[in-house]
Amino acid sequence: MASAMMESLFQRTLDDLVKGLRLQMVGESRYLAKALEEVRKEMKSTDPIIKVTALQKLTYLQMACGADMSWASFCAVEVMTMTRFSHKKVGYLAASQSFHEGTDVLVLTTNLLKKDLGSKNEYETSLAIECLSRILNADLAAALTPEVFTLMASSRSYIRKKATLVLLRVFVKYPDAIRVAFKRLVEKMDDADPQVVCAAVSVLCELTLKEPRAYLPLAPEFYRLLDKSSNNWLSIKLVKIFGALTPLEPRLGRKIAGPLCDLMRKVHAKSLLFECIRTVTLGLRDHTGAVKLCVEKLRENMDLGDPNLKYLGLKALAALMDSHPWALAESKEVIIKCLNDGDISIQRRALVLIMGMVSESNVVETVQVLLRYAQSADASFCNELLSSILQTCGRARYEIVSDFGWYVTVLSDIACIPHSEHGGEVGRQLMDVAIRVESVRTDVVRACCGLLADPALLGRPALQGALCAAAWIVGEHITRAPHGPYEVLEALLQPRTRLLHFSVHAVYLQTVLKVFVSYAISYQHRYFAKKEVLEQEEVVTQRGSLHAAVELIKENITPLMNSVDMEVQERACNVLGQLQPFEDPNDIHRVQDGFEMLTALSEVFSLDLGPVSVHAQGRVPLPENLLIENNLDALGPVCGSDDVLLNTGEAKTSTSYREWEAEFNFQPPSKENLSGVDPSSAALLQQHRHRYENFYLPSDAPVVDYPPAQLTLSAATTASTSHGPTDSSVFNENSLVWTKPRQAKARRPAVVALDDEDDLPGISTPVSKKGLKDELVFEAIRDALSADRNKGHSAADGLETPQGTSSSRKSGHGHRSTKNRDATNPRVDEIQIHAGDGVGQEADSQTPNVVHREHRRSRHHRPSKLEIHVINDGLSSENESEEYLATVVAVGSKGV
Amino acid sequence: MIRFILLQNRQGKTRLAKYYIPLEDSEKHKLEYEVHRLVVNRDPKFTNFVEFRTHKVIYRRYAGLFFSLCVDITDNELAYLESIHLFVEILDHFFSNVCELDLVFNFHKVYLILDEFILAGELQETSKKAIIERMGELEKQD
Repeated sequence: MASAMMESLFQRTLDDLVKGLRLQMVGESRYLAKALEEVRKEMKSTDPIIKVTALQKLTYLQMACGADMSWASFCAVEVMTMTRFSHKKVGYLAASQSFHEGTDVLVLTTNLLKKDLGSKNEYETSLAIECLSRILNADLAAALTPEVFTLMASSRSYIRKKATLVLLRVFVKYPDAIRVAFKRLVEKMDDADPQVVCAAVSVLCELTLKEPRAYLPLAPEFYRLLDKSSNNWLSIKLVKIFGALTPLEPRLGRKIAGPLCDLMRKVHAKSLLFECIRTVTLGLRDHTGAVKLCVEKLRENMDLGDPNLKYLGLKALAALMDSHPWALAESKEVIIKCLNDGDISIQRRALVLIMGMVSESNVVETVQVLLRYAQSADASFCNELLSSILQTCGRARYEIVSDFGWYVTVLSDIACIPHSEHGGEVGRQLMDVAIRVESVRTDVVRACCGLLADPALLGRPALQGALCAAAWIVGEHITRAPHGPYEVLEALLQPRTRLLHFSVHAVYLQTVLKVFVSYAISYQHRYFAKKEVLEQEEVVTQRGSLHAAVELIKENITPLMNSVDMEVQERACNVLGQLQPFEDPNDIHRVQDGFEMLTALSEVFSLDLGPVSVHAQGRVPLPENLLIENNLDALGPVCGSDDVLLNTGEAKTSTSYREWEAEFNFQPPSKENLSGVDPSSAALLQQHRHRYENFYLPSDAPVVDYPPAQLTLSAATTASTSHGPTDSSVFNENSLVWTKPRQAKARRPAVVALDDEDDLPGISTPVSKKGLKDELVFEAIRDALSADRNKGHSAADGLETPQGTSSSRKSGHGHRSTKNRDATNPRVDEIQIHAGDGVGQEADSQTPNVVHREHRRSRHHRPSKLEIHVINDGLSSENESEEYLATVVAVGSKGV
Repeated sequence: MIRFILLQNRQGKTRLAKYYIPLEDSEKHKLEYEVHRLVVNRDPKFTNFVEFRTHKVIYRRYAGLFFSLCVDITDNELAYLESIHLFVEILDHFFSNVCELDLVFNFHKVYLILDEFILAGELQETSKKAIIERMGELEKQD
């Protein structure tokens, strides 16, 4: 006893601990370790006060210093069971901070939580609910659903509110709870306490955002609430719900447009205003009046200068970008100004909008503005700007660019901007433009020469892609170079080129060769053609003469013969080899030989290069003696095993397997077919297999996992085009059919099963667990709603005529139900499911087929809203009583 | 819904953290570190919203303390910004002129206030008066 007193006297309190921690500038971890050690000891104490303090300290350490407290979970449960409220709350705090779904002591808390949830003290109940919301797992949720359900009807609004909110977590962990509690949740929307209503709407809002379609029938209730709501928070949630619902139901949009506009006009709270705007941009884009009002309000708010409003305004405009481009055009100036904002998130939003507005007519000025901003922006945003310019202009084969001369200068400007890191893309587009747009080639070459000549660019690794492309383009079109080939040679051979990456340098060397060839040939034309004599002094002395070029090249390339990179070394050797005949200008014969060689080379270089079209293969005419079908017949079983689109050349790209089969008179391979395989090919395959054993799949393993038939077919087609029929037969038959006929056959049925066979009675496809859960939820909500809906009007009716006469509604139903008279059977099924699921799990197992059939129907053909209502109306009264009964039974059985 | 709420000082020390979604401890520390890095260097003239992974962080700075709420991408930024302010007002009222030290030494009370304000990731009470009264009652419990 005395020792316990001593302990409690000398125990460090929470304040001491915090103070101590604050004093530790260095060595905090040592202090922490010591404190944890103390806590560990104190927790073993029998004195509740010491234990509680220790737990509280540990909770603090966990929050502030990230200490592990999973080892103390049992102690937390102990403290939770204490009777004094001040102790209990420490335990609950520790639990809600440290427990998670997998904590092993959770099983111990079930009864405790049950007791505290039912406590007379509402603060204890509140503690338990809060903790429950944090630690809930499926078991706890299943066990405590009845308690939460009861608390939702508590006489104290404080408890009702909390129980309603925690319901969301319960639903997530235990979807079956929806059957039990959903109806009551909907009732809470009519609660006397506005905070409870708010809680119910919050929960419904979260649920609606996940699966809006299921909650469409509640729309009239939401509408009613929105109409009379004076609480902004509640209104925000309701408007958000409509944002999710209106895209699904256009009539709802018509109904809600008026009230939303009124709300936007009179509301002062910006949060609600922006929620309304968001809903309009989501679901009411067709309501010009509403959209106009939105744009007006947005501009008003963006002009206020508040960065938050600016940001949200840009975001809302982005949502209107596709459907209402005029809205953006009207606010263009504000948007462009935002580019200069210091806040990167605003800048980004503005950039997205500006790029969205770009069209053929304004692309020039927009890009100029952006380039100007890019000059002054910081590196990362500058690159974002540049990349979006490149992306937008390059879209759909430069759709919006009409003046390519201008675009080429833009590309080279982009490369020259100091922060630019888009060398690769600039290079790709330069090359692309040079190849595609012939009329602009001279401009491209001029721009490229500029890039090559600038020594500063060579030092920037990010630009090497652009330089590589520039070198290639200039090499290909050297005759268009503005200042002649000698300048180009100088640019290509400047000393800083050693900074280039090897692969780029190799391209440079190849270009040097091409330029030299072109240069020498033109030189030859100028002098030899006329005079037939080499004027030595000119050759030797003048800058720009052939000899000078040879010397220039030799001087700069010789060191590269020792390059580490093989490609560079080889090309350097090649270039120098071509120069050899010109080394001695006096040796006229050798020079003449050299010119002959260069003439031959120049013919090779003068061939126009270009990209190969993806459809090029399709244009190759089929050789007459090619028998594709015969050999492919045997592929049938394998092809059939994958229900993929067959890619048999250009014309066949969209032919499905079925059509293909019909077209080729497909027959399943008979025995003759199989035995008719060419024995020589079989032998060949055997040989191959023997040699490359490890590349084959083991023969006992199922073969089915590898390339679908599509690949094989196209491979076979190419093989046959190139090698002729014999080769292809070897390839096809052996590799795919003959070796594994059995597996291929065995797999076939799984594929041929098509949609229409799905509805055969008695065959149920396996439903994945998640799908099952989702469907259960969906169904339960539908049921709950249908019960709720028994007041006699469907959602759609409520929308059309909220206070309409009942007679007209009835006639409407009569008209529809004739269409759905067959719904009687499903009706019975549904009731069965209800009762079964409500009572317990054994009932569930008795009606698996029904459940599954329900799923499948709703998955393939989810019942439209109309159908649901008609079914509901038909059984409103019985359904309600059944549902109610099921609920009561479920609660009863679980309560025991 | 609210994913988590964080109170951090300028040095990145966590003064309060409450997670409404289950997370591993290591993940929590990573989040706290990232959120701090995200908000600490932002100019006061910048927006109070930052995109954060697949969510967004709504934050507000009071003296040396950053109050950050991580919410879903579809949630209403301004409403949560207002709710941060409301929370601070409640704290201010409760501790009469709240400062960082109050929060440190009374972290369990701050949790109680927070639990009266937010439950299961949803705002449960929007009235300052109601929460203050509630806290008064709670203090009276033994």
